[in-house]
Amino acid sequence: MSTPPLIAIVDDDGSVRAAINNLLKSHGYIVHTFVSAEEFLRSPHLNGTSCVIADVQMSIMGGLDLLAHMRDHGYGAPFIFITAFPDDRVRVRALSAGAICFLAKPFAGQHLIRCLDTALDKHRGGASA
Amino acid sequence: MGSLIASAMLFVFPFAVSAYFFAPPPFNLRMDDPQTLPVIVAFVVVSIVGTHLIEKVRRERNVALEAAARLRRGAAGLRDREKQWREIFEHSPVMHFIVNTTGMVLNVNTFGATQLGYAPSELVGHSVLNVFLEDDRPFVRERVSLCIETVGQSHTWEIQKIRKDGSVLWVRESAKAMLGADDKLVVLIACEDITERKRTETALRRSEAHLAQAQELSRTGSFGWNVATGEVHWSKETFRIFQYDPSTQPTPQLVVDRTHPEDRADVRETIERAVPNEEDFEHEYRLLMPDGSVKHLHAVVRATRNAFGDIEFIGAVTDITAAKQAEQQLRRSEAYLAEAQHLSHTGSWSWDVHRLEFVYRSAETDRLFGFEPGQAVSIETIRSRIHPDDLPRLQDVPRQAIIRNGGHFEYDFRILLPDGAMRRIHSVAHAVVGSDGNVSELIGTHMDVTEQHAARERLERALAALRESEQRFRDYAETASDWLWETGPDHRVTLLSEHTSAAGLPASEVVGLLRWEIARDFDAEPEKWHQHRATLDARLPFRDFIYRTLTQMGSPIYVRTSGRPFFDADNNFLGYRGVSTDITATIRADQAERELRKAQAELAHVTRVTTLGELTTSIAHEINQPLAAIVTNGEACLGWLGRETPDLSAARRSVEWIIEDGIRASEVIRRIRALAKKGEIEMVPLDINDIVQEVIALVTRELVGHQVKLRTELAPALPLILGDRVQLQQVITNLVMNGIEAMQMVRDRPRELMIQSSRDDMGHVHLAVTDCGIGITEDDADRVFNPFFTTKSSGLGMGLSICRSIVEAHGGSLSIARKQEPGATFQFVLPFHKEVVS
Repeated sequence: MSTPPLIAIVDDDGSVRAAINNLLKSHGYIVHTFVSAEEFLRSPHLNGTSCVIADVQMSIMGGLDLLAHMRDHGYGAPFIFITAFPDDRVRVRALSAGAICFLAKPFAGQHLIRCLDTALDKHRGGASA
Repeated sequence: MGSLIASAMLFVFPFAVSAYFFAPPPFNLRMDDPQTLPVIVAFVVVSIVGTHLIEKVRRERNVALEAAARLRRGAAGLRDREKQWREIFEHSPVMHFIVNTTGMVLNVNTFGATQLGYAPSELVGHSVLNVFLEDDRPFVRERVSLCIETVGQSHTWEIQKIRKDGSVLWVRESAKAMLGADDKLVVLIACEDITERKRTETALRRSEAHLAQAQELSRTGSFGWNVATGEVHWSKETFRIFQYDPSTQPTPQLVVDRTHPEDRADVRETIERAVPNEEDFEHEYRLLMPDGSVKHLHAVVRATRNAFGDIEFIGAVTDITAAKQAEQQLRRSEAYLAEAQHLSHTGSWSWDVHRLEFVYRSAETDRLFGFEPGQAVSIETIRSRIHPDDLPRLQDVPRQAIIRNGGHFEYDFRILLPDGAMRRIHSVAHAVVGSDGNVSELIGTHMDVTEQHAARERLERALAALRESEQRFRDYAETASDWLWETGPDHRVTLLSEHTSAAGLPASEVVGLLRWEIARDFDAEPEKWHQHRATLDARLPFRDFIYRTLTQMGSPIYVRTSGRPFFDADNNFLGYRGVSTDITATIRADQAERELRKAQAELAHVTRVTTLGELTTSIAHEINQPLAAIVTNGEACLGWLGRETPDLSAARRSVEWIIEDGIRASEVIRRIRALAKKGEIEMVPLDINDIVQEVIALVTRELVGHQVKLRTELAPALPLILGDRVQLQQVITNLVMNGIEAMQMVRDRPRELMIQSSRDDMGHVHLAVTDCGIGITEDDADRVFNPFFTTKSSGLGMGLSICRSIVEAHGGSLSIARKQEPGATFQFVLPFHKEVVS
């Protein structure tokens, strides 16, 4: 725990983005928010991100594409997907792609925190391994 | 001479006899009474005077006796002288008659008898009355008696004697009675022939009578005025003219007194100039008569010198009042005639058919021909004024008149004036037949009918145009599906155009009926009919009044009728005229249209709900997003509060966000509810850009889900349109969804959807949705708006059809603007909201 974990939130819906940021900050996390996948990928924080919380449906590049893109480029940060329109096929695709959680909006805050902790543990473990 | 002596003797004898017999007795003196003394004195005086007188008579008797003795002495000589006297008597150039007291002719001299055409023997022994007119005989008898009563007294008279041949001899007779030789009374008559004088006298009297009569008839009085003596003589007529009593002594002042005050100075001046110059003069002046009337006089006066060398003015004065009045009347009448001719453009004339010239032509005739008044015109000049085409006909007119020998005839011709103007003349004339039985003159009138002719031509043209117009309208009317009708003042049908039967309404069954008797909806729609009858009562025009009736076949038809009242020249209401149309088909079509719209609205709703289903993802997304934010912010709030040192400001901020997102969520729900609502159409002013934004909010997730990039080019500050927000949202949503769908198969290029709004110059708001999809084939382009047409396997095919209905219901139109690959553009235009426009 030399460096606190860095959480990236990628969602094109401003109020959702602000709300998650607000929740995580209230739990002491360090959070960065991004309007789109492209913005995140261009971000200097890309490398130090401990967990990505991404919306599935975004224009140009959705959450799943971002995950695929990052894996393709060797970034192993765990992913938590959130969506306002849960679709079983998308859920399956997301989980099989290695997502920690697939949360349907609206979700319980506790649920996100648990997923986040799991993800950070996994990331931490992954990183230590 | 013998008779003279005899006369003298006869004269003296009676005196002697009377002196002898009437001498009084010499004495008779007695005085019984002293009072008788004056009587005696008187008697003595008278006796002395008487004695003296007797003495004188005696002396005279002695003289007479001496004379008688002398006569006796000369008796012998007397017989000789008597013979001489008889000769003289016999041959005197004077007619002598001696008649006895019974009037029988005792003697007549030969001259006298011859003068009467008789021999003396034919008269002697006959009554002298035989030589007098029957009528004069009593007068003659009376004259003879007078002579006999006054013997010796001479009497004279004038009388006519009748000759044997019956002719008349005027004589002046002097007669006296005297004792004849046998002491019988005879009447001696000497007759002077005065026939010549009588004739002259009679002639003079007649002449005077004639003159007086002539003066009276001619209203001409004569007068004479001796200036020197001041003697004035007036004829009877002059007195009458001046209205003075003939017993008045005429003076020049009387003339002046009667003269009209206005002419007095002139009259005085004329006379005063004429008198010293002794010159003739002539003047006209007026008299003001006592009764206030005015006479016009004309006086002609000659200055002459009479036998004594005095200046005398002799003149004639004529009452010319009647002539003056006639002249004035004539002048007025001529003026009227000229004026009438001028006004009526009618000239009168008379034409000498032999000399070929006008005998007379009125001023108006001159004007018609363009002649100067009084200008002498030759036949050539006249001919030059006649239209060459009419000249032969005109020259034939006199010949025709001669052939017809009188009677009225009419002809027309044209006059060409030197300035090139043309006059049309209608002439009426008649031929005057002279004493020789041949036509000598034509008398007629030329009437300028140029204007009438032009007016008639105009009228004929107008009539032709009117006939053509009437025919045109008849053609229109009879070929139109409309029929024409007319009702009377009581609103009963009086006339129906024949082709009404085409609509199944035979005219014969409708004429005489009221409209509400023809209609079959009178009971069903009383208010409509009440209003219609109020319109008719007010005699107002009506338009597009629709009622239902039955055809002859009993099938219901709808009739649309319009009418307007008509009035006569005095503004009396005569009824209505109008047009009716069978609009059954239109009504049916409207009903069908309404049914269709109802069905379409139902379908639109169904489609809308279907679309909602299709939009579920988007809708869930739209709602879940704010819900997610709300929940998350709620938990964050708890997180901030749950800290060892609660961060209240962060908690407060979290709550504020919750509230914002709650509102956002409810807004999404409201929008979805509106879309799903099956409500009444609500037309309100709208900004089309707002609708586009609302649609984009609904379809964002669809766009994202299909990886479609949306571009918008929305013109700022567009005019508002009037429309139903939800319906227009549906149209745009539909177009956007169609676009998204059209690009589903596109892999080789970015999927791009463009929404553009703009305004055009025609007062429309324009909206276009362009995709870059598969496009639409030419065949499909014709059919995409048809109901139930679809290229989609799952589609109902109602989308575009309903969209078009909605746009058209908004007064706009929906069309395909671009249909070639890649992609297609659907666009619609809507009119500006009128209030905005104005």
